Amino acid sequence: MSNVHKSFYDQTHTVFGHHKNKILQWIFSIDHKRIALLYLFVMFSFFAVAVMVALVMRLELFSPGQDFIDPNTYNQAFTLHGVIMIFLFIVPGIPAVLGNFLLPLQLGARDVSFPKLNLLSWWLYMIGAVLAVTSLFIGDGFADTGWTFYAPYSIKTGTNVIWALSAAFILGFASILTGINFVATIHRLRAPGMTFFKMPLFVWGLYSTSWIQILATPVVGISLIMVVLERTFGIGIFDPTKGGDPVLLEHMFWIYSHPAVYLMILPAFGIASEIVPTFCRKPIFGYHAIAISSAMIAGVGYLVWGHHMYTSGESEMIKLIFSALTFFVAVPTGVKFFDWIATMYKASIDFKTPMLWTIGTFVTFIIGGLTGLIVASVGVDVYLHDTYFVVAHFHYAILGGVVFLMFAGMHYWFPKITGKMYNEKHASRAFYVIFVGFNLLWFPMFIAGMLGMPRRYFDYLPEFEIWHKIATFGSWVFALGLIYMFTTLYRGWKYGEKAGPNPWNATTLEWQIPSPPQLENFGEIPYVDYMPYEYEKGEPVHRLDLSVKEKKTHE
Amino acid sequence: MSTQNELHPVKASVYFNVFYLLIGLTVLTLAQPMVMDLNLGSTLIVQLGIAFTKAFLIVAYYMHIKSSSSLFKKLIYTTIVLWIVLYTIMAIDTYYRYTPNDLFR
Amino acid sequence: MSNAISNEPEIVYDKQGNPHEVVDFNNDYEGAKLGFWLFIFTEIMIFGAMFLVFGFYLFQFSQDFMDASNELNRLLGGINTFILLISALTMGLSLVKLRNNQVNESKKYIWITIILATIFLTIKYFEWSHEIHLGIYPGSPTLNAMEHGTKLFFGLYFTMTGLHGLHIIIGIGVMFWVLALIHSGKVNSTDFVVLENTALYWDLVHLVWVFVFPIFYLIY
Repeated sequence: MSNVHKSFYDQTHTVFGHHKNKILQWIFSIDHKRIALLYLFVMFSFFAVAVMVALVMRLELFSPGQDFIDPNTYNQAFTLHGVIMIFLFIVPGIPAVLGNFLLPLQLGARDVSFPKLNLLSWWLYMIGAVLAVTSLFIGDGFADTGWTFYAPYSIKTGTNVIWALSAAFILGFASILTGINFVATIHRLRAPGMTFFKMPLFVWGLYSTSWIQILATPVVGISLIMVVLERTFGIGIFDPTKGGDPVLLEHMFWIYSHPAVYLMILPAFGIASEIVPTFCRKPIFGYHAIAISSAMIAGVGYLVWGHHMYTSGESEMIKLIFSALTFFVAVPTGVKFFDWIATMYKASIDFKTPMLWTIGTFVTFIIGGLTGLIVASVGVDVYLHDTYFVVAHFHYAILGGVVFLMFAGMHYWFPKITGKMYNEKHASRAFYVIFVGFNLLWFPMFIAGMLGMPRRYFDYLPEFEIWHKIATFGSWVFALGLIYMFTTLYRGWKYGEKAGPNPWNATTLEWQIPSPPQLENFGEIPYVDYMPYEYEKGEPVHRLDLSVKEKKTHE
Repeated sequence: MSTQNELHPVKASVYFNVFYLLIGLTVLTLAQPMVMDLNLGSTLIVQLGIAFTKAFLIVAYYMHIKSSSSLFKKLIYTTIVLWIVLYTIMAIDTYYRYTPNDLFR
Repeated sequence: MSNAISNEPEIVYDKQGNPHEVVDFNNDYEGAKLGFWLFIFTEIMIFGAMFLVFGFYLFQFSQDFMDASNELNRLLGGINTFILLISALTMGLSLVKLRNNQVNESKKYIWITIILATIFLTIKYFEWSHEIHLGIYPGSPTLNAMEHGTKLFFGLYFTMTGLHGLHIIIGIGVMFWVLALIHSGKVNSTDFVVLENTALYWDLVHLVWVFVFPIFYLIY
């Protein structure tokens, strides 16, 4: 009889019409929580595809020489892996899934500022995804240029570059609209009393990310359009035979693509800032420093793109400038790590799976970050550019940083999203398997890279064979760990115990409503005049029941 | 909408006054190359100077930034600063790449 | 609870008992303006990147660019500049009229803007036809035989004026849509943010031309 025990799974608002069909109720829903889940399922399907492509590549590289795919197919494989992982998985990434679900909840709002635009973002994402996948099966197949689409090869190659670029453009547009939505939401829909410096740090991460989405994505958008025009009409902008400059394309491409990696990591750092105080049961150390460091990373991150181009022919002067700025941008990240570890100091730490993932990330991301500084040094990068060292560096940073924290966030907010709890024992074991597999897979690549193994190479000299064998073995352990983890989460969703509103005893607003949330999120919006992580003797100071109750008179 | 009553009243005269200024500046842009024979650098300075003046008028009055809350002003400044920085970095690279002034040469 | 526009704002009370209004995202004028301004920033980034490319090649091929600039039709370009300037005025006036509840006047000004925009496109069409008639278009044998700088100048000319023209076409479409909304009463003197944002968009289109015109036509 009452509406209040229904969750957002039972009822929804759609963009037009009333549908009986459940599927239509999902794909036309303008509820941010359902849109988050739509993103979740599609993104992880693509993640699985890209992982399998990588496993195939690693299998081919198990021994030198051609084993079962030919060199051109190999080039298409690493391009496909990169395009899917970057444009279809990690750039939408945490904002599209956890951001969409949690931003209004953490702010005390009933939805984002533009719910219909939110749905449009998802549909644009689907269109871009379909375009990218279709190009696999048409003509000469998927692009073989690498996900970086450097000229002049991207202008000359016969593979379906225009398809891939058009897909990337549409996906970029989806990303921009999400960014616009989040910035507007954060400015307009914070609960009364919640100033910027009372917002949860996950929101700070999303805010900084959204600015990058808005300001940086258009630059790569127009660059990709120019490559399309170059291929179609022969304008000459990037074609050396007409006076064009391929290095200019590299500049334009990386002006977005470097800030893009900060767009990936900032929400992930935000997740760490949520998990650490909860499982240390004390307020986070240095809230203001962490908040401002997010903004600083976003800002300074615009200034360092040239460190991808040290060997491409930019001037010596600008190499020095970029190198210095790159060292500088590492400082705010160091501030965050210091503050998290300071929070853990003398805390009574609860080593549940989300905390395990977070601490594991500290290990892998520190390796990723420090090796980043190694390649940020111009003299060293001359030798390490385009080797496996760089490949290992960015996988430690993106996979071992962003994706690991995404997994941490998924475990942390799993009870809130599903209303159930997964099996802790299996989840933590899955973490260990993945962690071991990850390091087996990527660490040998640092060594191979230093010894001279080039990246994107289909074949290699026998001296590198041992490193490839270890890495391929690691890829199997890693993949098995992923299967273990996803199975545990799936079983938790289907058969797990019911979870209450606040199984972790956390303090932010999303834990003061039922799990899973009701359609309108909150019965009453609270007045928030307190900091987000207030603990007193290990217990949250503010415990509220903000659920929708039966006798509400207002609509 | 409760903000309706607090909105800045909009008068047609503002639009017309700015319009006349913009017409005047446009006439200047067209006249400049005919009246003054300058090299490329100076031409660009004059032309872009006039263009930025027109841009300021358009953004401030036609796009209501002058009468908007400080949030919008800060956002515009952020975008402008970002472009200044990006153009400066690109200018540095372009200058040193195509001239013999680069380091270590 | 439905998300239909309700006239009752939601009030929250703090510890001192002061009331605070909760912003309703279905009815948020400031939010709508903010969202559209953010979109305008993306457009500024797009066109800014194109100006960057132009500046890059202008520095490298200065003489070729200046010679090519001399070839463009300054009369037509200048007329277009004035047309767009007037259209920005009429667009702004349509907003003033709507806010003063002079609905028919407002619609009239939107129609004038549409007509001016169409004239702009027509003149642009003639300019392009002239170049193409001379064999000058991206990828043409005539152009390919010319200097690098000339090739790049015209490549950028067609690209940037083409991108600008595309935005004008989209703008005309949006104006028709707004006319329909005003006609049906959905956009009116108390709920006019859609027209205001359309005017903002048109100002952006004008703003881009303010920079495109001198760098292409007036560096001879």
